[in-house]
Amino acid sequence: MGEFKVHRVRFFNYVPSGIRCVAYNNQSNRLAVSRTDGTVEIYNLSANYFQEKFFPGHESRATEALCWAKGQRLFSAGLNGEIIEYDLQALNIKYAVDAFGGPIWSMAVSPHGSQLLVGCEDGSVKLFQITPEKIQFERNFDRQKSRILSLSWHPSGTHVAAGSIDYISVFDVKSGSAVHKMLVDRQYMGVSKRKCIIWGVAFLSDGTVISVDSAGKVQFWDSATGTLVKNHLIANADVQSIAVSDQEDSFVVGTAEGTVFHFQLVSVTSNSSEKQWVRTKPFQHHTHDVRAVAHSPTALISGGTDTHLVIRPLMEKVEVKNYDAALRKITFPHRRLISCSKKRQLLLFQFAHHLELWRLGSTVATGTVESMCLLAVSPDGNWLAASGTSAGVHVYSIKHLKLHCTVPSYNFPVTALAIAPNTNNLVIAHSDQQVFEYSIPDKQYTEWSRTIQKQGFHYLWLQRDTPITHISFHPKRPMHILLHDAYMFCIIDKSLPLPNDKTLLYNPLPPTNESDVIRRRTAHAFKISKIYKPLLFMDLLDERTLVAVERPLDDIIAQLPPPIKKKKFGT
Amino acid sequence: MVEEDSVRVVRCGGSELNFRRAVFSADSKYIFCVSGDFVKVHSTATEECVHILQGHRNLVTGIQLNPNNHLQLYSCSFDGTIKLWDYIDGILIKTFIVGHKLHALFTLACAEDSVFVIINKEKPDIFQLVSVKLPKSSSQEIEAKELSFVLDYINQSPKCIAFGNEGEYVAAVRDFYLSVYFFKKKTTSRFTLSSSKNKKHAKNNFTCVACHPKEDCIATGHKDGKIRLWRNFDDDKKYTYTCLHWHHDMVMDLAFSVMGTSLLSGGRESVLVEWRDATEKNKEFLPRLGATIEHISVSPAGDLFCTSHSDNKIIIIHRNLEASAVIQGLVKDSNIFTGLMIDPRTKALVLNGKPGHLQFYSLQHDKQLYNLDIIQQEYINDYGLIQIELTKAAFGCYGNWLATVEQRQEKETELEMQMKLWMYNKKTQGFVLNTKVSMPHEDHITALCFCNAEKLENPTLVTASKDGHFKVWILTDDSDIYKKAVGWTCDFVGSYHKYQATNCCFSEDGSLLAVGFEEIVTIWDSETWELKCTFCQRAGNIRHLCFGRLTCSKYLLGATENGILCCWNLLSCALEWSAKLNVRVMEPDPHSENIAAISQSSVGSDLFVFKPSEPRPLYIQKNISREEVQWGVFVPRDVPESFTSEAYQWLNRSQFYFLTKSQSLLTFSTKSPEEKLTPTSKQLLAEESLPTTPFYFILGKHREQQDEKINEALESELVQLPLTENIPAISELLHTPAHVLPSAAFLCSKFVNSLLLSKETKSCEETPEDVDMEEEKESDDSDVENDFTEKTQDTNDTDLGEDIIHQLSKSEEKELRKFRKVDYSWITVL
Repeated sequence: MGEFKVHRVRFFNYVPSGIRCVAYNNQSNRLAVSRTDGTVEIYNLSANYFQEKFFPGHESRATEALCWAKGQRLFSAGLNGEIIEYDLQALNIKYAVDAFGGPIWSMAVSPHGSQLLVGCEDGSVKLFQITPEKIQFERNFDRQKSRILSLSWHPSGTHVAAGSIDYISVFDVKSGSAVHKMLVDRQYMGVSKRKCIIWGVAFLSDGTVISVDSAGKVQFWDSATGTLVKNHLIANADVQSIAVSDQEDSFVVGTAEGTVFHFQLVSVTSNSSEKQWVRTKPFQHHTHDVRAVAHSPTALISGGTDTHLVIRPLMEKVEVKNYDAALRKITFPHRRLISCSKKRQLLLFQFAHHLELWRLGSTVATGTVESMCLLAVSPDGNWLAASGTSAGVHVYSIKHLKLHCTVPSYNFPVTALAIAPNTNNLVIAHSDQQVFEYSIPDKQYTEWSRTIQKQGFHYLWLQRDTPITHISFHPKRPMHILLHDAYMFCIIDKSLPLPNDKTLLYNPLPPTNESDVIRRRTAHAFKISKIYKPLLFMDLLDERTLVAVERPLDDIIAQLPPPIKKKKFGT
Repeated sequence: MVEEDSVRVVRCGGSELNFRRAVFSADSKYIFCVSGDFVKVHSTATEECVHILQGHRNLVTGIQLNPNNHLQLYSCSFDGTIKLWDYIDGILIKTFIVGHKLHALFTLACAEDSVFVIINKEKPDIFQLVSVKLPKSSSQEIEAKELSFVLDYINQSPKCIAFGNEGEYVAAVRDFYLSVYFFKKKTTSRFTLSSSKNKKHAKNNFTCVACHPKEDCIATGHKDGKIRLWRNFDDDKKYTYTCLHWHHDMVMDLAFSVMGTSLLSGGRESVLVEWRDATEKNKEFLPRLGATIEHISVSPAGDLFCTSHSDNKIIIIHRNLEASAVIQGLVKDSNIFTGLMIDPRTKALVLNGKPGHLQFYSLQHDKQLYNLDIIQQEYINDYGLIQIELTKAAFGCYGNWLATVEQRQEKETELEMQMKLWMYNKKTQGFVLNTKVSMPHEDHITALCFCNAEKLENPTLVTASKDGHFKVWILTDDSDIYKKAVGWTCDFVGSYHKYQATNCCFSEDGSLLAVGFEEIVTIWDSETWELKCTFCQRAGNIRHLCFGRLTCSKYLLGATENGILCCWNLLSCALEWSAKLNVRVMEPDPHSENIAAISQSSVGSDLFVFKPSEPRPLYIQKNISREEVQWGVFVPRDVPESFTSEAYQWLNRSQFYFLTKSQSLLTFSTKSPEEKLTPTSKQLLAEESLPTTPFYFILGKHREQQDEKINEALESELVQLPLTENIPAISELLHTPAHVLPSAAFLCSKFVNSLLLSKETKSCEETPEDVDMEEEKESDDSDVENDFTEKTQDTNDTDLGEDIIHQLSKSEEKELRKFRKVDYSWITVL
């Protein structure tokens, strides 16, 4: 589809922050992720794992704990000692409450969702009542000697397990007194090491407490007697996180070596009811510490210092082997961080706390202040299309400053939209990889869009796992739509026939040794290039010039702290 | 007088002990291992072979304890039979004829009357697991034709089949899948691993399987060294597995401990790994086991493990991972460079053993005597490494000296070579390194020989090399002011027209040395090292060269590569005769004029035995082996045989052993197969072979279990009882096979009653001594049972007593002895 001069930009020095907490909400099938810079992201797992909401972070608000409460309310707590509630509609912070216990290390919502428990630096465990508008301090539990690093409620809500340094306490919620204190062995590979930090606890309904600690152990305790039942040494480094499934038949732990272990409750023999916890599969999808894990009914979710969010489906829970059964690794945000001025040849880079403006061909960096995020694209003329967090797209007339029309709503959130220069056709990409073309003057979908919806997209196109983040048009070729996701760049030629599932979707662009006949016969509307990856932005500067912004993963990894060194056999 | 049957080629021990997993007896006192056509019973405490269970006519492929009677052992063989043995007495109880070639055997406690075997049906590569119903019958040979099919398309190796949870299911692995068959539900679940397409999983192949004894857990070993522990496998969807990864190469075998608390694994690393609680971090090692672990087995009592290794040894290991005993068979290395030799001192067979070692192997006892480390360097076990090879070895001066050559050649031009001379040290009873010569020649040494003449003041060694020289090395005084010492130095270097020296050989009296230079044979005087004469037949390079012996010492024999065997007369310096024979192996008998030559043809190998003086062979045996014969040797007999027939006379003084390409050690035997079976059948027919009475046989047996009171009571009475072969109770007792006998309590009263009838004590006094005499005579015979030796010791004690009180009259003294025994027994009874 023609040749372009390409500006291959690799100077976008973007480093995503490491993931600190992950909280999964089963009711809405959403995942909240907080990063070390305080950013909180909401992923909609039903909408193709699309990152639909985003709360920019602040250095003073490093989150240490994140949890969902009843009625889709999201709370976070951090080392500044405040409990924060987020407003998921307005996308801002509703309020912040100081717990007055020093930095907060842990937080847990009661099984009924009405109470909030925080563990503080000074060893106190504080119970808050969640009221419809706010949270209200209710009571302190017995104060412990050292900081409370982890908390877990018994599913009945009567007891709470709290992990501290060198011991685990079990509290009675009614009285607030410690019932048991379970001392954890400091032994580390046979030698007594420094203090043993309980990074995570989980309280099961049968009274078992599972703890993970800095000595690499996963331990099972009987909370009724306060005794150790079983010990699994799984790592040479810290085990930092634990998450149990709702059915309590499996749980997942993450270690500082980047390994995620899956434990399952399996019956000892097929004809007996006796069951035991067995470590089953290890997953090594991370290079650095796995700081947070979550267990959805069908997948294991993990995130850590290496900034990847990994969603690993459990094959036995997946009904159909489709695209959802594939492993997902989300590294880059699902929004555009770069804009480009075609006339002035400028690139604007958005970072967490600042912006950078670059002139192509020169290297002058100018910094400005605030962080911003919203999805809106203005056309060349007089239309404005806006998409909120809900899936609908509204088109406004700038001339009259009023709503012109609303594009029929669709289940999946919009990931990118653009209005074509001459025809005023609105092109919308959704998180399930569907692309629509809507004619603003006619207030209806175009003929091409109807054909492609009738025929359906190629199955390989629908299986792509990063959302389309940018759409643009060729000024001289109105039949072309240019769009890209993180791993491919595509030009859709509306004049060519659409591919069906039998045709090759990814054809090499210039088939030099094939005859024109074959080329013409195999040609279809989708011209896909995978030369640039990971591709954060691509646009036309002018008719013959493209600008592509790449961010190689190796460059990001080079800026991360070094991982725990592991001996590799044969090296 | 030995009955002369036709000469047959037989296996003579040195068989693979590591062919199948070894099996422990229920009390861990014995360990059973397959050994060619036999099953060997070893004591776990002393390593000694207790019994050899002989009876199969082909390779034994599986052994298992009888789950319903732990004193019995099942074995199966390629000959299509399953045999049931009483291993304590070494008696064959029953033979079940199945008919198919049986590849492996499994028994289950819950399947009382059937066993499982692997057979192959129709196509050669398709193996099936079938269950065989063993009919109950009193006869010795029973046809068991009732087969029921269990699993198809399985791997033929028994390591790839395992039964779990007391026979609820059977797991089989092959290539990339694990199939589990549930007997109750009659369903098969199959789990497939991603195969070779993906480079990461290229070596995912299953290699072995084991089932947890208490839990529903299957452990599988893989080619890439991983161990997978499968659980929930009764559900096709919810199945799950864990990986344990320590081995860097293929997992050869897996075994769970009796309670399932730990898993044992082994492979080419020669390290036994114990995974406690089946967790990755909790593992123990037993390293440096010497060779690849091929099999692992666990004793039913749980106190012992054993590993079978690729160097044909079985190591018995305590529960705390300490090796306690080693049962070492003939080490089978694929490269035998040294050939077969006989150590003149121990009469042991000497050949390449473990890498870098010479092994001394006793043919009489079928066990390795010891290993001599020649290279004395750590062996690094890895593919593609070029190792130092022990290429030549020779004994000289009646076993006082041993010469060895080792070499390593990485590139064409980089040859590293060492010759070592070892002196026998009488004090330490072993060889001690005396002289080390690095690069004794510029090129490969092709032959090495000592001068073994009887009257020789100076030990002499000759080496021939491809560099065109032969060197004469003599022992010289190497003393200095510090110590007295001897050492070897080069005395003479000879060559002939720059031809490569390919062979060398001393005449019997040591006066002449023959050196082959490619096509030419040169004769040198060993006094002056003068070239005496040359022979050249222009029939290709000389491959073998040897002088005739005794009356034929004037002849020199040479075999060439073009298939010509020449015999030269050294007196006339002329060719005496020549024959067209493609000789592979030519060995002279040290005790006679005979020379054995083995020729190779497309069909197989043929043996020719001849005297150099006449071109007509004494004996020809066609087709001794289908394979190529690599080496042969004459082993002098301890006791000469006396074959009269001309054809077998060559076997009188020595026995001829040969080694084929597949490392089977074979020899010639004149004994009929039935005769070879005697040890087992003899015991059933005990009363016929013993000259006097079966009583003493029982007496001997019973003494082993002296704590049984009944037996002692019996014994005390036996002394005074008359000997009668015709007491029905006794003959019944002896003729009935042990496994159908009623309980001892029931037999006892009947037996005692039968003895009480007789009151005469006249004749019995004479017989014991007669028996003693005979038995002592017989004890030389190797066939005598252990019981006999115990018994002779016993009687020796009484003999001593006789010497001290020899003044007493004979009758008085017997009276005394009788009383003494009676009293003693009564005390113990009380």
